[in-house]
Amino acid sequence: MGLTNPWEPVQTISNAQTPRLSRGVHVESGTGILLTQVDKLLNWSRSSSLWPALFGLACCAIEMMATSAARFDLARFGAEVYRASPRQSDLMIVAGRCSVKMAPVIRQIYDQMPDPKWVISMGACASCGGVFNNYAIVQGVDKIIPVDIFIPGCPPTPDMLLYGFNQLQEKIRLGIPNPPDPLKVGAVKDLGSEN
Amino acid sequence: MQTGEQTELHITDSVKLDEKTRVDTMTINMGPQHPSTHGVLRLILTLEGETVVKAVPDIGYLHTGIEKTAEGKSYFQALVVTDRMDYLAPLSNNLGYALAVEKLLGVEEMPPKAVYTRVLLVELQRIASHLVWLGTSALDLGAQSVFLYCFREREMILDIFELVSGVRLMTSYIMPGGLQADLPPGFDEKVREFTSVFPERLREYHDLLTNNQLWLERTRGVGAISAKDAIAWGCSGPVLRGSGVAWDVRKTFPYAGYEQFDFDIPVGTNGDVYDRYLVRMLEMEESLKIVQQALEGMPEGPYQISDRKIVPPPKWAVATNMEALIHHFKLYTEGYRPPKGEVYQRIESPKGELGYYLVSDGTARPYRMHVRAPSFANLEALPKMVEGALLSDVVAAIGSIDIVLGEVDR
Amino acid sequence: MAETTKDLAAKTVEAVRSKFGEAVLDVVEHRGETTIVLPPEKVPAVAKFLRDHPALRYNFLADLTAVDWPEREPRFDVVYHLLSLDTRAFMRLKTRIGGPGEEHPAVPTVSNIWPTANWYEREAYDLFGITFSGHPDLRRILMPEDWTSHPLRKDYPLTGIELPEPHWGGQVPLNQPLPEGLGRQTMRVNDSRPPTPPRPEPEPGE
Repeated sequence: MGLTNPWEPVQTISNAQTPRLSRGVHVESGTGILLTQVDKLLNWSRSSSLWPALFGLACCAIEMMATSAARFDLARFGAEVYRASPRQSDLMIVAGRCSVKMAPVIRQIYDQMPDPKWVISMGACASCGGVFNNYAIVQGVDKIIPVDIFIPGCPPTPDMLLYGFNQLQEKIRLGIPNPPDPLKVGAVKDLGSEN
Repeated sequence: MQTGEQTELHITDSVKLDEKTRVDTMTINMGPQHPSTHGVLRLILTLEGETVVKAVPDIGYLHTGIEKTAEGKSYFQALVVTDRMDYLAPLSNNLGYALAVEKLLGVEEMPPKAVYTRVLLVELQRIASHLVWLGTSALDLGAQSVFLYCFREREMILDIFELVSGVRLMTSYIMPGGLQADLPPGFDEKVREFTSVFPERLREYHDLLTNNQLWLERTRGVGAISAKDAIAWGCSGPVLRGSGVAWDVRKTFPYAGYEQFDFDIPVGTNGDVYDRYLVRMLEMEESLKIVQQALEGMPEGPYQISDRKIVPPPKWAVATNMEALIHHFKLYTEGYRPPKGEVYQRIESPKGELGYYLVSDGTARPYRMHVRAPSFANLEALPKMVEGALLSDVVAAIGSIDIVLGEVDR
Repeated sequence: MAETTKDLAAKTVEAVRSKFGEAVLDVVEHRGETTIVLPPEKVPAVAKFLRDHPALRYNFLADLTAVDWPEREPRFDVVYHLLSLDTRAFMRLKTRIGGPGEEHPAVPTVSNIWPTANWYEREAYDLFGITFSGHPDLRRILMPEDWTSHPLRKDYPLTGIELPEPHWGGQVPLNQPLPEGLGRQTMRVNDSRPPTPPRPEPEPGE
């Protein structure tokens, strides 16, 4: 009672929303928080022309193709070409479920990309194993490669992918570094609990 | 692995035929990550110059254990994982599964509205799947604008699916027992909008490709497989029809009400890439005909069977009626228990003959769900199509088989 | 259609019974489909007979799979779905294999009768551990080459087994030396270049 429009949301920020700066980000010394104008320019230019490496695995790849098609054009945000060769790209959109046979391939493609590079894990299967909690699927591709942006959905609609892409661009512009590499022994520190 | 004997070139097999000729072959890897393999397929090609001597497909890079996952879920829950196999045509997968479960349960009667809607949606799904095929295989052979046009039409179809079920792909809308929900108002107009626009767009694609000299050069005579080979290697769908065998499960073993509709099956002659292309283009036209017939003749009535032991009751009944509450509870906690037995249900998916082999042991979970994936057998015939051809023909052949690795690897 | 599927199924059963007699262990009919149960060593003979029979001509092998019944003995059911494109006949053949201690039960192959059975038998081997004697190239097809167990058996847990199997990807850190003989063979095909040196470890941060 008391609400004029019963469909109006009562709270606008979800309790489950992750805070802006993700916890436990390992800021390497030397990068610093202070961004000079040159750094700002570099980050802006990097974010405005992210070239994805073709890495569509399964159903999310179809939505990724639909995102680059005419209705939801990804190219207007800078992703002009999908490079087939990872050596010429700086963004890897892992779209689809990663099986245990495919895992070393993903790692190798990630290693072949030159720095600076970012990873978007698109879809529930790439983020956490998705619908398939079984022997054949790696439960979250962030066990193998460091992931910057996770996009939920099964499959995420193209506008969700565009939103995730925009979030990644903001992350680059703010200068937030990549998360630590999960396969480097000792790099992922146990940060304990944070209040 | 090599230890450095020959470090300059990857010369692996050196066959001395006689003293004068020496044939050097090179084994290369058309790896799992490749723009033209339509998914994570790995081909190990042995080349002699540009000619393919041997092609060995290596699959399993998308193996998801769907069959084992389905064994742990109830029949209703397992519907959701069936979407994700052939991810270009989820509604076809759903229909196959629904028909198999209904056969297992012994459901004889399906209300006519459900029958017509199922056929309508599955034929729209066939058009959507063929549009992706056309877009991607044309993209592989260099025709980039066809890709954008095809996806523009596909967005219209996906809008229809979103209107009906709320989801663009992976709808799980066709369930054992009927449909998940009733058709919303505005469905008729949206489908009519699509059917009025699509014939002219199809003509556009024909203008772009069918008599295009470049397309003909790339696809005529390439990747040919004879009818006898296609049957022996288990090919089905447009691959089999392109080779001249007039086999379409919708006509030979009609299911889900297809006998009420009037349509033809296009059949090719040579079994090459061009014939398969034409078969699929004509199939799109035929599917459009079926969609129009289904729309015109759509009857009124219930959208599910009325057996509440299989299909959950509507929510308003659950809130007021005790029996409905019990049915709802039993269905969502345990699920229905088909009698012991096994069935094999085949349907004609856009890729070929999709078969569901369901074994029930009397409990609420499928004991074994095996999916006969059409792309699995079609891909097995790839070496036959490609050996002796050039490397660029491999790309055309893979595109023409229209494989979906999700169902090859399951 | 001149003959319905039911008539053709009855005709098939009769033909197999008259030619093979006591090899037909059982005939089951359920929901309009007929299944003939055979002993494993008779399968290629019956399959060839059905393929070459002038009136039946089962020239299409639709599916070849297996079912695991661990409490029962014999343990596995190998199921063949046959189809005739000319006469529209449909038949299911079944054979039961797998004695008490048998780890990899064997059944003769049908890949020389229908070439499409090649990959289906490899898949049954991969997921169930059933060997097909006479198969030209029996190796794993869906799981990685060095996987050691058979996932679709009922005693294999759905979430898999952590150790001691060689698990790829995130479960074995890649900068540890992999066991002898197991390399990433599926990746480097005849690559004679020296392996890339490992990246130097970053300085520990704090």
